[in-house]
Amino acid sequence: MAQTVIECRDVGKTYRAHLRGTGALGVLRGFVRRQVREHVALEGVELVVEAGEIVGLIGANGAGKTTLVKCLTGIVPVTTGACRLFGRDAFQLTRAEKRRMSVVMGQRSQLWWDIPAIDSFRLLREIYQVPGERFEQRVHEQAERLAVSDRLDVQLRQLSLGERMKMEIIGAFLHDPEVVFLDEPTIGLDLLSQETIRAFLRDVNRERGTTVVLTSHDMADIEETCDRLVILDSGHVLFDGDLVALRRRFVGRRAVEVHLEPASRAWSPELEPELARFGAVLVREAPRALTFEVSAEQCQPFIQHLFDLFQVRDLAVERQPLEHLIREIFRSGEVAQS
Amino acid sequence: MKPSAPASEELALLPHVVAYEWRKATAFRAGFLFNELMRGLPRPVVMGFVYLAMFKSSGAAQLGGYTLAALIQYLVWTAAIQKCVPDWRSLDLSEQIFDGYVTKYLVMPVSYFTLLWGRFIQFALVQLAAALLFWGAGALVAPSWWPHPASTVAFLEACTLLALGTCCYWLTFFILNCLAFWLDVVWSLLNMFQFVSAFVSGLLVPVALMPDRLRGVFELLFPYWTVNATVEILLGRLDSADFVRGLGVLLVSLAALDGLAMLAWRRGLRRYAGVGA
Amino acid sequence: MRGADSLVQHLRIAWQYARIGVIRKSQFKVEFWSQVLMDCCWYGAHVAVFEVLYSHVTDIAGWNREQFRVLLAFLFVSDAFMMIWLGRMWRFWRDVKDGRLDPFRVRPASTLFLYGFQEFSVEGCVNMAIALAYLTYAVARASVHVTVARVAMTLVAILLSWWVRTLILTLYAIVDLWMVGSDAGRFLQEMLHATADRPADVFGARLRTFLLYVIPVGALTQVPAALVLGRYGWGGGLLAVGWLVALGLAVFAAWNASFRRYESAMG
Repeated sequence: MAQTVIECRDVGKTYRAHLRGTGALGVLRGFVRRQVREHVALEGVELVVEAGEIVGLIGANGAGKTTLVKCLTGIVPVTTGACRLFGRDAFQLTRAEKRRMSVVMGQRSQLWWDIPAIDSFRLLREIYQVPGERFEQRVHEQAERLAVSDRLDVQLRQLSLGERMKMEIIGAFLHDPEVVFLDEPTIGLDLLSQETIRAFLRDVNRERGTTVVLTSHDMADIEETCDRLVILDSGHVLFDGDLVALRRRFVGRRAVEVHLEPASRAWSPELEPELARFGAVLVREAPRALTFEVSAEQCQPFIQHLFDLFQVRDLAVERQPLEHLIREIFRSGEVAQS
Repeated sequence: MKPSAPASEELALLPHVVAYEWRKATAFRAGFLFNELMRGLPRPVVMGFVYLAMFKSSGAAQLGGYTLAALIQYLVWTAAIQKCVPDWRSLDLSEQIFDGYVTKYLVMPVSYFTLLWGRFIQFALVQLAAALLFWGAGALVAPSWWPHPASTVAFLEACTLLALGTCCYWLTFFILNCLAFWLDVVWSLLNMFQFVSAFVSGLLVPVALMPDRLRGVFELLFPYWTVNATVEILLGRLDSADFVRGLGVLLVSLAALDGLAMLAWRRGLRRYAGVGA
Repeated sequence: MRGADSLVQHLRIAWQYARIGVIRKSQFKVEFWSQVLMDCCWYGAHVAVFEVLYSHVTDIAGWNREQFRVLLAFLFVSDAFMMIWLGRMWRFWRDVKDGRLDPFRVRPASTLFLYGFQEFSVEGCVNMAIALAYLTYAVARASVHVTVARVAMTLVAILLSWWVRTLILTLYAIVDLWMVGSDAGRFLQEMLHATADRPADVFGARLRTFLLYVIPVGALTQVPAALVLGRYGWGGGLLAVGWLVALGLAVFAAWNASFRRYESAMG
C-alpha cells in the first residue's frame, strides 16, 4: 500500500499587506492610520500525494502554486488547516525529515554564483551528510544524464540558463531525496534543455520512486512528466486528478485549424451565428489561419460548413490541447476530485 | 548622444521627482521613523554620557575650551545638523551601475542630474523638517538648557554653510558612486570617506578638543565647515570673519566637486556597457 | 551523540564556507585590499577619538587610558570575527524583504548558521590579525600579569566577545523579522556602533545593567575587557559569562520561533 507523503487538509494561507495612500495627503494619512489588506493566497486546499507520484501544479500567476510549495516545504507556516510532510507539520520538520526532501526554485538560484558548481555541490554534501563515494558517483552520474559533465568546473555565472538549471537539479538530487519540489524548473529554457530535464525527472521517478511535485506554466512539462494534475485558481483547487480523467471529463472536443487561401474572405464577427449553429467557438485568430473548437459529434458537419464559408487551403483536426481543457475548467469554475 | 530637454522642462520635472522620492522614503512608516527621524541620534546621546564622566573624573571646569554645558549643546547641534548631512546610503547609484539599472535613466529625455538633484531636494526637505522637529521638541521640553542660536546673524550664517556643505557632501557621494563605472570596490571607498569625514567634521568629537595643527588642516576641508564650524557659529564661538573664510572654502569645494562630478559622469558613461552582474 | 554529530556537521559546513570564501576572494584582489584599507580607516578613527579624549583626562568612568585601550581592542576583535564569518547578517533586513531566506529554511542544518556564516571573508582574517595584535599591545600596556590563568581568561574573553557579537546580530535579525521593511536593524546597528566603543560604566546604574545584561551591546567590549583586566572576581566573572551564554541560547531559540513571521516573497 502506497505511503502518504504529502497531506493538506483545509489549508489556508493569508498574507497581510499595508495599503499605501496615493499622493502626499494619502501618505500622511497612512502615517496616522494604516489600512491593512489581506490577500488570501490559499483557501480550503485539500491534497494528498502518495509516494512515487509525479504531481503537476498549474495555475495562472497568483493562483497560489508557489505559496503551496512554500507551505509544503516549511518555508512559511499555514494560516489555517494542516499541511503535513512525512506525517509531520511541514513547518516543524526535523533535520532528518529535511534530509528526505529537496526544493528547486526555478527563478532563484541556490548555488553560489561566482564559483564552479562542483564547489557548491561539496557544500551541499556536508549539509546533507552524503558519504564521499556516493557523492562522487551521484554527481558524475547525474551530470552525464543531464549532459553537463564537462561544465562542472565552470563558474555558475558563465553557464547558460539551461546549464545552470541542470546544475540546480543535480544539487537537488545529490542526497537522493524521497520528495522533490520543483517550482517552474524549465522557465526560460530552450526546448532541448526542457526535454532533458523532463526525461531526467521521469527516469528518477521510475528508477528511485522519488515523489515529484512540479509547478509550471508550461503545459508540455505537465503533459510529458506528470501523471496527476492539480489546478489552482485564486487559491482554490479547481481540479485534482490524472490527465486521462481530465481528458475523459472534457472529452468530445476537437480543435479544428484552417489555413485560408489569400483570396478567401477573412473572419469577421458577423460569422458568429454560423459557429453557433454547430456549437463551435473561435479560439485563435491569426492572419489567414483560424482555430475553432467544436464537439466531436458536430465536427464533420462543421468542417463541411467551413469549406462553404471560406476558401480553405489546409485543414487539421486535433484532440483538444490540454491548455484549452484547462481554460475550459477555469471558465466553468468547476471543482473536481478524481 | 541623446538631445537634452530645455531647462524649463527639467525645472518643471523637479517637483515630480521630489514627490516621487518622498513617496519612496515614506513607503514604510517604521522605516521612515528609523531612517529619517532617528538616524544620527545614538552617538551624540552616548557621547553626552562620556563627557559627563570625563568632567566628573577630571574635576576640570573646561575641556578644550568647552564647559560641560557647552559640550552638551555642541552634541545637540551636531545631532540636528547631522540629519541634514547625507551619508553613504543616501545614494545608490553604484548599485544601479553594477546592475545595469541606470540604463533606463539614460534613455529618458531629461538629464540624469535633474533626477539626482530632485532626490537631493527631497532628502534636504525631509531632513530639514526632521532636524527642526528634533530641535523644536527639545526646546519645548528643556528650554533652560536647550541650545539656541547665538544670534539671528549666526543662524543665517550657519544655515548658509550647512546648505553649501550638504551640497558638497552630495556631490562627493555622487563622484564616489560614479567610480562604479571603473571599479568594483565603491562600497569600501564610500565607507572610508564616511569614517574620515566623520572625524574631520567634528561629528565624533569637537575639533576644538584635537591638537591645533589638526584644526589647521581640517579648516581647508569642507566637512569641517559643514558641521563643526556651523555648530561653533551657532554657539557663538566663531564670528563672521570665520564665516567668510568657511564660505570661501565651501564655494571653491562646490565648484571643484561640481566639475569633477560632470567629468566622472561623462567619462563613466563612455565606459558604461549597460550590463548587469 | 546527536549533538556531537550536529556539531561536526556544522564544523564541516563552516570549512566548506571558508573554502568557498577563499575561492571567491582569489578573483577579486583589489576588493580584498580596499576592504582591509577601509577597516584600517575605521580602526584609525576609533583610536584617534580615543587618543583625543584621553589627551584631556586620565580617567573616564573608572577606566584609565590603558584599560580603555583593552576595551577598544575587544571591539576590534569582535568586529573582526563578524567580518570573517557574519558579514551577511548586516544585510539580513534586505534579504528578509526579498525572500532570500527560503533556501536556508529547507536545509537540514541550523538556518541561523547556514545564513549567517555563509560569507567567509578572507579580509576579516587580516583584520583579526591586526585586532589580536592590538589586543596584545593593549594588554601589555595595561601591565596585566601574564599567568596561565590570565591567558586562559583572555581566550575566554575573546570567545565571549564573538559570542556576544553573534547574539546581538541575531537579536537585531529578530527585530527585522518582526518589523519587515522598517530598517530597524540598521538603526540598531548604529546604536551598537555608538555604544560598544565606550564602557557601559559611563551610564547610570540601571542603564548600565540594561546595556550589559539585557540588550548586551555594552557587554560586547566591557565584559571581556573586565575579565582580562581582573575587574571581575572569579565569581562575578563566572556569573557574567554564564548569564551571557544563557542569554545567547535564549536569543537563538527566539530566532527560530520568530520565523512564523517570515512571509518569504509573498508567494
